[in-house]
Amino acid sequence: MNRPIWAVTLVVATFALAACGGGKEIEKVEAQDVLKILRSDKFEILDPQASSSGGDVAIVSQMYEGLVRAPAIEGGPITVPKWEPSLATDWKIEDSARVYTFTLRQGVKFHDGAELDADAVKRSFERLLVKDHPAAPTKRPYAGDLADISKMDVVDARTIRFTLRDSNPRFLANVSLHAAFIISPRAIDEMTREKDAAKRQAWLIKNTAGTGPYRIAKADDYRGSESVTLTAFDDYWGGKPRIGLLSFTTMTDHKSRREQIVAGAAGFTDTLLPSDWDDLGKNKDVTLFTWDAINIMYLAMNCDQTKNFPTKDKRVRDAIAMAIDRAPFVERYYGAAKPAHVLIPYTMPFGFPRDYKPKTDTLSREDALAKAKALVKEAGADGSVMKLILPEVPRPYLLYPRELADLIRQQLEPIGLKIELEPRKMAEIGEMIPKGDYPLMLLGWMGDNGEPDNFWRPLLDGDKDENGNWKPGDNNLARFFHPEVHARIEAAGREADISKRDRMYKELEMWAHDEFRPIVPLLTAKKSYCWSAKLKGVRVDTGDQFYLDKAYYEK
Amino acid sequence: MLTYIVRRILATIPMLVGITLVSFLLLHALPGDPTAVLLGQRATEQNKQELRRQLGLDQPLHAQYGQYVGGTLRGDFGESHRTNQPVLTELKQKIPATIELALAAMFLATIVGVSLGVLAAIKPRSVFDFACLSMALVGVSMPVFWLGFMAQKVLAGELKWLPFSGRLDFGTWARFQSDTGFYTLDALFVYQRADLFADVMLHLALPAIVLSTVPTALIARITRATMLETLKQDFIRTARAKGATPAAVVLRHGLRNALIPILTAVATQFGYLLGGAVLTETIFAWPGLGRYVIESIDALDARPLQASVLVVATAFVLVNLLTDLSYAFIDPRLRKREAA
Amino acid sequence: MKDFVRFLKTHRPAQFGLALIALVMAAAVFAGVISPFGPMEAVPNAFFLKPSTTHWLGTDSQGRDLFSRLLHGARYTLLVALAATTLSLLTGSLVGALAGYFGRWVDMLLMRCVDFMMSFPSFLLACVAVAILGKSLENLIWAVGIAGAPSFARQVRAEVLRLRSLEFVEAAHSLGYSHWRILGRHILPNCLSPVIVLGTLGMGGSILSVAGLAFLGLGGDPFVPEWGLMLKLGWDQSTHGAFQVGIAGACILVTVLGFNLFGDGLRDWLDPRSRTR
Repeated sequence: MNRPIWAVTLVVATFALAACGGGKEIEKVEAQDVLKILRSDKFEILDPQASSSGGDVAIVSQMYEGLVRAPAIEGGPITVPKWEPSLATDWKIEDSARVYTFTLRQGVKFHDGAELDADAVKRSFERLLVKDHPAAPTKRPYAGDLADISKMDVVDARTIRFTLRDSNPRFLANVSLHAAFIISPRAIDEMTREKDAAKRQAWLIKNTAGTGPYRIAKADDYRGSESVTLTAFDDYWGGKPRIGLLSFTTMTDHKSRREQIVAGAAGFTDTLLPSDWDDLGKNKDVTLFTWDAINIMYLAMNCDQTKNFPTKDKRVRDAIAMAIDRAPFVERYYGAAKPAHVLIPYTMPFGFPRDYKPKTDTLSREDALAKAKALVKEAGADGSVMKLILPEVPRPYLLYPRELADLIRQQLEPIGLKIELEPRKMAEIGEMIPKGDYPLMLLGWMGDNGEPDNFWRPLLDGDKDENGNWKPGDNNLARFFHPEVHARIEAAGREADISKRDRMYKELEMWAHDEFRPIVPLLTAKKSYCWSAKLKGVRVDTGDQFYLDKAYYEK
Repeated sequence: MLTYIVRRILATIPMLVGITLVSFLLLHALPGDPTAVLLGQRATEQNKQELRRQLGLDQPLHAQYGQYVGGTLRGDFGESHRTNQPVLTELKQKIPATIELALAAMFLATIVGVSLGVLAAIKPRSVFDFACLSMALVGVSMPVFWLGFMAQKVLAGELKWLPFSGRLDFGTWARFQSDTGFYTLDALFVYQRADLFADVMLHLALPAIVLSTVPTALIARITRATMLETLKQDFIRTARAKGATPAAVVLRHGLRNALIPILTAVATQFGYLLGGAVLTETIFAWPGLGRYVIESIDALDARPLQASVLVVATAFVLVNLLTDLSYAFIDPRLRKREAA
Repeated sequence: MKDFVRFLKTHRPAQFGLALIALVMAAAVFAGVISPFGPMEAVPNAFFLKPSTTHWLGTDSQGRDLFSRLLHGARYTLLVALAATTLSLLTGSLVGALAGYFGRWVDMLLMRCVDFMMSFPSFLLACVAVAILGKSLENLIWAVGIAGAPSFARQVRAEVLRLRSLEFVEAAHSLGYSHWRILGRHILPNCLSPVIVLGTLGMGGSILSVAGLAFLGLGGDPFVPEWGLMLKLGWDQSTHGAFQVGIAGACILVTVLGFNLFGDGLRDWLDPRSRTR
């Protein structure tokens, strides 16, 4: 046979084979039955107790639920922290916030068919808290937040009682964290069979064991760290979600996410650059949702007295605080940020002293610069060279790390301080902090649970090391520890009366910056989601998380 | 010829050993403490020590190398720090993605490059020849990521002819599971759906076109040059004199004899494709090996980086080996020696 | 020199290439004089301005004049590429010359190393090298320079092998000259033409590699006005950066095209074997 004819026959045969069917069944999903979601980050660990990155938590939050949940953002600041029922319909707080009793919702089913009862809740918390638990994942980064549970009692099938070591009014906030989402007892049995912790953690990538509106229906729905498909859970207690499938795809660069959402190639995305917000706001095809998130971006100054950095002198720290002008920082965010003068962001429901500014921030620009210059001279730090550590890649609160670090460099030059920028990977920064071998660091913090304690304790407090000496914590960038600050953080954290706590945090704020000045708070950044204008019913909560169980497409 | 083949094969062995050594040392050459990378911002010193033991990082170097080679031979590349997935599992998804893209680009480059080259050679110094040559020059000088940016903006963003990125629209084909790793094959033979195949091809088109730019240009130039040379030869004149049609002269006599240098050019483009794929895959969010490398570098995730370097280098060595061996069969001088 | 002029007169593409290179070089040399603003000079609150009479190409995300940055970018881009190419050229030629001249085990050893390096796609090799060295423009030079060396080594070795057996080298041997003198005075100067051709073409390759690595985010300080970094900076700025991406990419393309055109021309002129083509 002639060769070309042979080749043509082959191709035709192939297509004939393809056309006549007989292959594996695959159904084409209708556009209104699926939501394509773009994420700026990846999906790597889908075990709620082990997840910590934004992309992981976003997915986990569609599949799992906790006893209580954070309220939706409805415009305007929230003045009192409140928690909504989720898997628990009701709760009682007794013994000055030491005993919490939850009544569980009836008729809740896990994805694997198991029923939710008090025993299931207890077992899920045990997996999070018990040391060397046979079903535990390799890491449980948030376990510390719930480590003050001393006892869990199954009162009856629908009631569970937590007894804490000490009174802790923040317990509900901690229970709303994704780490406290409830995992099915059947899954825990399943994972107990697996000897290797990493494999146990990976087991939840191929299976789901939550109660949430969406689930992983097949092992292959996780297609690697960049693509995951979630399927609506038919037996969801709140009613089967109207959108049948969620298709998550990682798209790291801002440009691609914006283009795809505008072109309609995707239906939902997180974080778009503030410089695009104007255009997106005017675009009729998309809904841009922005809100004042609970985060702070700040410049940390190393206070460690054993290290020989100029910043160990409070005069230098005061001078730096005076020299910083926040206006150009805010400018870079195209209005999507507000200047910050204290540790607690203005978005926090309480503990933020609204009309207060530390003394260093109240001077006029000329006075501030003159005084700062004098202070630097006085401290003998004139002309000293300091390294400023910053993250290589943007963080949600620090969208332009290199740009903002450069602003700091420019602003500190006139007062006689020379700054060298040193961008580092987040992993490397994590290593550097406990060692404290840097004078300045530009970074920030996102609130986990809407509690001031969640800022004070990790950022400006410490714990005892093995010799019983106090040392700054692993996220304490300023390497700052003071016994009185510690005592006041502890006291405020234990106080059950909300208005008293509010005052205690405010007073701490109004005292600590003038007295010690370990950090220069710079700004609180807004955050954004953007979705197709046809999509309705998206819920975004005060923990920055989105939920789609009530979402639908408008005809 | 047999000795040539044996010697050539033996020569690759030290090469492969070297590759394992280099990829092994990568773990230690990368900056940063691998345990800190794994544990993230909330790591404690104790956690790190524990992990160090778990990963075997507390053992002497030669023992670690032994373990590494042993693991590699068993197909155990360790686990990714980020996903806790075995690297092998991830490679099984990434490698076919890159091969599919590279083959599509190679296919395009060969077809387009050879046709342009031949057509240009038929009428040298014509307007068409000049256009081809200019295009080839611009193609060779093209920053692919820039071309990708423009192509994406116009073809996907403005005209909406082609999808932006990715291998398949998983929203529409939510239940798609790849049996082979090659989506084209899956669509054709596993699912046997023309519409699915079309979607796969549409996704493949833009990255393949962009990736093929440089090889197309190079192949066109080489084809034109060799064809010009060939068409000057005596046997072409003979064929013409014998009254063969112009097309037959060019294709049957000319192209066939120019084939060897063209094939060589195609083969040598393989390395370029693997390198260029890093950029193309990044632009089009193509979940292949190239992007895997960059992501692993970004996350200081050593195991996947080691494995990908190992895989790419080994593939490269093997392709070179095959090319050299195929010369042994094609090259008449070597063939004759065998016959004698 | 006369030859060169004659060659230029007859070779259109080379003329065009040289003109492009000259243009970019002029931009690089006179950047300080021509550009209306400093490359790092930020106009406050003037981000992403549209092109106007004051800012010919508008401003970038920092409110810096794009036109000025592009001019200064020519300087950085050319210097970085030149440094990388020179590094490739020197190390590659040295290795190739030693291997070709001394033969035997020296050749065996060195060429094994070269082969080994060539068993990694060079761009990937550069990526990994930057991963190890750290992200910075200097490290990009090292990475691209080393990754580009093997092709020089091969070319020079082949050339040296050819020259070694020629009469004048044999004559030098019989006169009892030292190896170094023969290598330095007699052999290497005669390898110059292919090295120049390869170096010119290598400039284009280096610019592309550096830009590619910068695009992948491996270029270090994103504020240095190097074209690859500028492209990346625009890329990261979504909508408003598109113009910057377009224009920086076009500059890269034009410059690389210039080197390739000129390099091809040089090859036609200097390499008698390819002249027939």
